[in-house]
Amino acid sequence: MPKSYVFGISPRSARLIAATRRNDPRTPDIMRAETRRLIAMQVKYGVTLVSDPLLGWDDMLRWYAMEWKGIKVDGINRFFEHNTFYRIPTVVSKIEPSGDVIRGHMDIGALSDSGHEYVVEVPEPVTFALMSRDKYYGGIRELSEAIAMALNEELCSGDISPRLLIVKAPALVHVDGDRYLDLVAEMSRVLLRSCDYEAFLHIYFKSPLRAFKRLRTAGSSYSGYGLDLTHDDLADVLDALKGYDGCLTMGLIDSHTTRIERVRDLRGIVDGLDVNCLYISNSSDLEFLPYGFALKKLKVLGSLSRGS
Amino acid sequence: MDEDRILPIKEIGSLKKPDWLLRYLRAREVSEEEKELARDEAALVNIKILESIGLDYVYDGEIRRVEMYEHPVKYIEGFTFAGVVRSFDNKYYKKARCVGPLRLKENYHLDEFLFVKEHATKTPKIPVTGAYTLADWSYNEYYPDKEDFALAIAKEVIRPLLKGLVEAGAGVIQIDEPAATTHPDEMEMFTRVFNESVYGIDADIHVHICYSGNNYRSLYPHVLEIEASHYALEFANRDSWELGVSKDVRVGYEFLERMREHDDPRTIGLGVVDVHTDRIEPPELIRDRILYAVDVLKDPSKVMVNPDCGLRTRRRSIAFRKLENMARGAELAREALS
Repeated sequence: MPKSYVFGISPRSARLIAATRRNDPRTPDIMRAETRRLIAMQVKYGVTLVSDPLLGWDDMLRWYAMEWKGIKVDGINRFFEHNTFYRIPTVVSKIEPSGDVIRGHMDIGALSDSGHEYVVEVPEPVTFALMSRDKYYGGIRELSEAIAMALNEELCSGDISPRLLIVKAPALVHVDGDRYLDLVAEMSRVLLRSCDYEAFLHIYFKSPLRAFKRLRTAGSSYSGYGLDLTHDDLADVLDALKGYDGCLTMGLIDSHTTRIERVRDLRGIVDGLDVNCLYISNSSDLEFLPYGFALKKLKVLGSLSRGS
Repeated sequence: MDEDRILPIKEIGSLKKPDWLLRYLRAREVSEEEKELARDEAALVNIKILESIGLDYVYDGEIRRVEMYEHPVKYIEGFTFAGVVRSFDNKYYKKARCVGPLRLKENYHLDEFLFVKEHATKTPKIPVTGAYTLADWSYNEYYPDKEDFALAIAKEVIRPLLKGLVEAGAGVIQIDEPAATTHPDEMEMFTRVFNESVYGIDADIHVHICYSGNNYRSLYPHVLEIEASHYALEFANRDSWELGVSKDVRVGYEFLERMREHDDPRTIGLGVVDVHTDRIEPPELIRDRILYAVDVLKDPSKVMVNPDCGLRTRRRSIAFRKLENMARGAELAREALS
C-alpha cells in the first residue's frame, strides 16, 4: 500500500474559531491541544507520515512575513482563484530570517511525540516571491534567491529531522507561473543546499501536468513531485508519467468538494500506476472544507493507505 | 430620477445595520412581528437618508439580508449548509452544498422590493446575487459540472426571481457577480450563465463586479456578449488619493480604455469611494476621478457614479459622509462639464 500524508492548512474546529474571534487568552493552549488531537487522528486513521495541521497559520506565508526582518505584512489579496484571501508580504529591505518560524509555529515536539515519521512543509521560493510585493530586490530572481536562502536557514541549521520536506508551489499553475520553471529548479538547489532532506515539490489548484513535465527534466533538487490529480483524466496523468522514475505523491483527496471519495474508486487509480516510490495525499489545503468534512477526507486517506 | 441630469449617482447595496436594530433582533423577548416592524423602520430610515443625500437610485441598504450569499441560499431547495470556511484571518462564511435539484422556494427579495417601491421617491435599484457567484461559492455534489450547476441556478432560481420582481414593478436590477473574474478561464461560462439568468427579463440590468484580482483584464472581449446595459465596478480601491485628471495620478482605469476601444455601448458605474477605509474622499478627488473617466470615454452620458461596493464594512456615520461627498463630487464634476 502507498504511504500517505496530509499537507497544508487544516480547518479550525468551532471551538478554536470561537477562541480566536474573542481573543481568548487560552487560545494558544487550545491550539496546541487541537494540534495534538489532529495529529493523533492522523495516526488513528492510518496516515503514514504525520504533519502539523498548521492551525496557527492564517495563510501559507504569514509567519515568515511576520517574523522575518525586511518584510511587512500588507493588505489582503485574493489567494489564487479562491474566495479566500491572504495578506501580501511586502519586501522593504534585505530579508533576514529569524530562524524560528518552523520551530516556533510548527509543533515539532508533537510530531516527534507521535512516534511516527513526519513531514515538514515550506513555501516554494519562487511562489513566495510571486505572491509578494517587492520594493527592495528589484527582480523576481533576486527576491526568490533571498527567500530560498532564508528558508534554507530556517530548515537546515537546526534540529528538525523530517522524513519528507513538502515544498508548496501553487503559483506554478497560475497565469505566468510557468515562465519561472527553470528558476524554480535553480532555487531548489539554494533551498536544499547542505540539507539532506528528501524534498517533494507539490503543484496544485489546477492541472499540474504541464509544469511537472517541464520540471522533471529541469535538474531540480526535488526527489519527488506531489501532483493535484483532481483536474486531469487518468490517461493524461499516465502519459505525463511515462519514463519518470522519481517519487510521486498523488493528490487524490479533493480539498475542494464535500463529496467524499470512495476508497475502492481511489484504489483503482492507485493500482493503475506503475511507480516505484508512491505516496498519496490531499490535493491541497483541507481548509477549503468545513471541519467535519475535512476529518472525513482524512479518514479516507488513512483507509486508502492502510489498505482497508 | 431626473432624466436630464448627467452623472447620476447611486449606491451599490449594503449598509451596516444600526446597532439598535441588531440589539432588537437578538432580543428573545421581542416577537417576530415586532422584529419585522423594526426592519421596516430601519429600511425606511435608510431609504430616506439615501434620498436626502441626493442619490438617483436607492434601495434599503439590504437591511433584511444576513449577507449576499447566505441569505439567498436559505431560500433555495437543493442547498444545505456544510459549515464554515475561512475567508481570511479569522473571518469565516457559511458555505453550502448542492445535494439535489435546485428550485426557488420563495421570492426572497419580493417583500423588501415592494416596501422600497412603496416608500421611495427615487428609482429603486435591486441588488441580486448572481448565479455564477452562488455556484462559485458553493460545493456542487449534484450536477455533472460547474457550468450545469451554475446554469441550473440561473434558470431555476435567478430567472424566476427576477421575473417575479419585474411583475411587481421592478425596472432596474443590479446582478452582483463578485466572483466573475476569479477564474479568468471561465469567462465564457460566466457570460452564458449571466445571459440565462436574465433571458426574457424586461428590465434595465446592471452588473456589479468587484475586487478583480486582475484589474478586470479578463472581462474583455467576453463581457461584450452579456445582456446588461451597465457595469458597476470598483476603481477607488486602486486609484491614488492625489488630485488631478492626468493619467499619472489616476491609477487603474484601464477597463475604461478597453470600453472605448471596443466601442462598448454600455454605461459605467464608476467606483469613486473606497469601502475598505474610513478615510473620507474629498469631493474634489471624486470630481477628478469622474472627470478623468469622462475624458477617457469621451462621453459624460456613459458615466454613473457609485461607491466601489456595498458600504456595510464601514460605520454608518462614515458611510453616509462618504456618500455625501460622492454627491458633492458629482455636482462639482457636472459644473466643470457644463
